[in-house]
Amino acid sequence: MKALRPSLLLPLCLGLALGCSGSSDGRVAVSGTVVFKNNPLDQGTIQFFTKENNELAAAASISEGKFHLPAAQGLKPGTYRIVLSSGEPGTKAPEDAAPGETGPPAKERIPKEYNVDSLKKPVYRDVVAGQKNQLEFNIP
Amino acid sequence: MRKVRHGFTLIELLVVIAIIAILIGLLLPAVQKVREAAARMKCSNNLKQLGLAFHNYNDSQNRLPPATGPSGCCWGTWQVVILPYIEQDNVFKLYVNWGGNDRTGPRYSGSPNTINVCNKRFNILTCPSDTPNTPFGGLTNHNYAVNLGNTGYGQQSVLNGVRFGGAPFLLNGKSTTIQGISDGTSNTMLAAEVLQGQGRDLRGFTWWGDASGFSAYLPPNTTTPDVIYSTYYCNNQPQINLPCIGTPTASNPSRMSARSRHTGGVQVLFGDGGVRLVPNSINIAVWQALSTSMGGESYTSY
Repeated sequence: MKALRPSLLLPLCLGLALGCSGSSDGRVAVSGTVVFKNNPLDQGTIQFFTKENNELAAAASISEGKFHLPAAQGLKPGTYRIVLSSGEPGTKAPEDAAPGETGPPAKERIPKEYNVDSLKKPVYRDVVAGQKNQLEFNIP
Repeated sequence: MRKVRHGFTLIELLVVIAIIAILIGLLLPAVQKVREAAARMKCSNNLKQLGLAFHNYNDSQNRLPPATGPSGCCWGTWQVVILPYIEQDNVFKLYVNWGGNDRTGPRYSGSPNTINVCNKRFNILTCPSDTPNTPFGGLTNHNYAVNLGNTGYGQQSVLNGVRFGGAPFLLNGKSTTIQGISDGTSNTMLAAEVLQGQGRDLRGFTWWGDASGFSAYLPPNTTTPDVIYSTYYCNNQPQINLPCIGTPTASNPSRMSARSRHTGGVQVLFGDGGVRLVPNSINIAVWQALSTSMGGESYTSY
């Protein structure tokens, strides 16, 4: 019986390790900060696109200069094209009325290479396995 | 002979009461679960009815209804023209100026459409898991939105590199057919659940263009905020699965995602009439592929 124990333990540990890592599908948590004109960006959205086939992999909202993706909605290790967008506040609908035609979108505050020109002049960031992924953006 | 009357002792009574209390404690959560399961069944049944309605509409009109009328946002959406197919023909007949070809007549939000149609709540378009809401003067929110494809509300041909792959529902009076869904009807969504925004929030406000459809750019129940065209209409409540921002931009345009109060996913109506629960954890590329009608993607499962 004593000789059996280690052999029983090994598959158990292996199963546990596999079972736990499988839940997030190899994805890792990603968080970061966005500084815009020396101040934390108050609101905005960050999107991650795979470099190889240009698929949307994850998105998160930026609040007070910070964003966070938990592992369950995180990214697989790799290189990602970044799309950052933040509209200038100001689009106002008439108060206390049912909505009608929508106006043009808000003015973009973030430089073009982070959004509309992102395919032409891409900004890439790497996500790596086995370490804390903290992405810093300092946008002038 | 006299029978000996035997009473319960205090201990026996207490034990019985304790056992009953434990049993009730076990039962209560189960009842709550059964309630949610029943509500979910009702929501899925509503979607099936909608599926039949879309197929019947397609058979009699040789096309699917457009998401919005020819003049855009404000003179009625698919939700009005589908009414005769969900046995609400009498209500449909009271709606005036659908499509608003002159762009001047009464809107969805003007008399007599308000009292006759848009102030009414249709049970078949309401999911009991969600909280009903009326954002303006009694106009009602509902829980089902049609599929507008894999980019934003405006059906942009390319959004940040994601290419629009066709959708079963189009804007401004344009429409498609079920026969034209070349990706296969069982691989293409027709409609999905959305949540009703609370207060003056416009999510689920399906009488109006922007809210008539959902965008599959982001996965179901995403924590990334929906984009509404004005901050005035955005009641940001991320803690109850209703995050939003009110400043659309070119690379983050107006769009509303599929959302629900069910555990783990949203229920989706597919082109073949089937209703399935799509998990929140679905790969975004697969979810986008399910939304395109002519994208030519080759995913087999999710």
